[in-house]
Amino acid sequence: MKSTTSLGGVLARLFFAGAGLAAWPALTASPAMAQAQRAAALTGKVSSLEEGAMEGVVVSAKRKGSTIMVSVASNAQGQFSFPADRLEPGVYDVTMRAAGYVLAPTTAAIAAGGPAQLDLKPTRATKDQYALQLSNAEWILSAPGTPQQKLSLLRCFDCHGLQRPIFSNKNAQEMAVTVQRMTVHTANASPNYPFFQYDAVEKLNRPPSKGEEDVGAYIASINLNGRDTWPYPLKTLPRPKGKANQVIITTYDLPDLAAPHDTLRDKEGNVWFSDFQHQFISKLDPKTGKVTRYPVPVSKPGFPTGGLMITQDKDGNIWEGMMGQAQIAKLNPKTGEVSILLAPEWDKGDTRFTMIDALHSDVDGKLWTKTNGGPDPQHSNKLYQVELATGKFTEVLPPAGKRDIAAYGLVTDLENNVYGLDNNAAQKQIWRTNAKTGETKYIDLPDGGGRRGHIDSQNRLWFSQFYANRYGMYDPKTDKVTLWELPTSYAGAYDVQYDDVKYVWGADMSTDLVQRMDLDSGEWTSYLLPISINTRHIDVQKASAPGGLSSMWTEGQQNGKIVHIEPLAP
Amino acid sequence: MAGTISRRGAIQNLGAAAACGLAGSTRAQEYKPQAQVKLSKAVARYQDAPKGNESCGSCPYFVLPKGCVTVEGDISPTAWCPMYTSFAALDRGAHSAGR
Ligand code: SF4
Repeated sequence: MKSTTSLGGVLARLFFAGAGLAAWPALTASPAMAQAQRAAALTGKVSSLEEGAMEGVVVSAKRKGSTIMVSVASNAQGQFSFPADRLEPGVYDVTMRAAGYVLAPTTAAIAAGGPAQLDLKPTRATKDQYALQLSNAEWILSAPGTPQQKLSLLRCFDCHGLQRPIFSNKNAQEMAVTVQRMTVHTANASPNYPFFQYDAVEKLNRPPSKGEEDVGAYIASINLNGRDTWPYPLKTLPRPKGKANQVIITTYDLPDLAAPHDTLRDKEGNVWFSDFQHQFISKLDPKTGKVTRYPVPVSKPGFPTGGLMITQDKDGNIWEGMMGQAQIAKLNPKTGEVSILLAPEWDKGDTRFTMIDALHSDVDGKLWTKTNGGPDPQHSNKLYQVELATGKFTEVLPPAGKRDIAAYGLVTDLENNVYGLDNNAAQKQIWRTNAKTGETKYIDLPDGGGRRGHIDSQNRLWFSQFYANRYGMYDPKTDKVTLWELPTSYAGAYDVQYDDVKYVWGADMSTDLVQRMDLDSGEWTSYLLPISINTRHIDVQKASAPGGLSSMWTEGQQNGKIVHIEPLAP
Repeated sequence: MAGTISRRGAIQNLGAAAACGLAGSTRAQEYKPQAQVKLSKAVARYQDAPKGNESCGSCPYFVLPKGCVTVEGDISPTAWCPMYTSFAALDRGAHSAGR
């Protein structure tokens, strides 16, 4: 792989990059770190020759042999502090995240009874290290191209990071072939599990299309095709400031190539997650880091394994849509028993599940789900209600003369009606189907469709717009949609949820930032995660007491992590 | 590349991937990996010769002694196809170097 850059060019531009980027949220500097109010296990200061005290450096501590990493961030004086209740005595590896800098291998010995002191002195990254530090969003912001061309890159990180195309040396023709091949991988393929659609060979038996050639030519214009470095400056976003650094982030390593896609936290504090590539319903115990996996049997040998959406019904059962296996899997956590329901056309073609929502099934004893693929290409998106008592599927058809009720995300409301979110840049509607009548209402948007979302306690739908880079809220009482632009361009907005008090939380696929928006003031706080992880679904943990703060759980879909983000400041 | 897994490690892990996820599970032995669809050599644009210094023998999808994760049939370590990559398969694109 060619990964060299022009050192002078890259580093000279590095420290001035922020000014040319999209608007960054204006954050209010906080006079004191909230962490300082708690007893500390490890404190220190981050400084460099270039900047002196460094604000917004994410510092992480991981005890040797542990699967749990705790991270905090440095304040305006470069100070950081790990609370004593988060780090037990022991020897910890200490790492940090600050684009343009690296830290030599560092350990800290933490003893009971008093904080250990450790000052960090990162040095400038080499040209190669710096190129590897860019997030997906930073690559998109750095590369030249039209908005349409840049949007085409957003699909890459459904399966892998932008490093793969951007570090490649393929020319336009070769890249067109690669882009064409990407269209015949399954939705849950990854470099480690390069699943193909069942009819991939047939579909590839043609030359690349004009659209594939165009995307191929674009990527070949920004990768290492015929050159040793990228023909544009590499830019990174400014480090977080102020209250964005008042946070504790806990990152849990998952075992054995786990690929978490959706997370949900139950009342007992367990975090359940779907596995995008493996036949499991999985549970993380955040207190210990222990992961328990409940196997789901295979129904369609030769078709991809793995699940996407996971929900919990009011009886505590966990439900997961097992995609290529065309199954809905149900786990009774009390007994550990797993049972499956097969889609009506499960054995026809590539009929597959993605979304399944049982959250409000207590209303009428039914869950909502949908299938894609199947035997009829003219009617490949099918919406179903499933009676839980009998396992009976009833298809709900679109209104006469209307197209299929296409959707990526499904979200049920408090009456167990269902919203459908079509993840399509040109889509100007979302829809809601009434649980009792089957009637579907279309809700207009300027553009951008929707990807995933949640219902709040006021029965309002919160949804992300992946392509349009917005969070949205639809209030059925007023029949009004409100949209908010994200503070970072090309963020790849995936999911959004309201905490029912004050804050809207969201996760993006490309920025390595978790967003919290104050609904009263419109202020954004963007928390930088300690590692690049490609977040998907989120689950907001509501404040445990009045006046407390909500926190958020999400996952690193492409590197097997579960992450908990706990703000320390309102 | 810093922060990624060596090719040899990746190959071993691809093999291990087939039996993944057993630790910490209940009844995990019931889990069996799926035989996946592979591409024919023709649609994969497989060629018998290497391309420059790129060849199957240094591709993470090569399976000793003469197989491939993604292309069907006998695969020569000195052949090549456009799926060749120098990234370890286990590097799912989440950047890790220097952080
Ligand atoms: S170059 Fe192609 S055929 Fe050869 S091992 Fe890699 S993926 Fe398989």
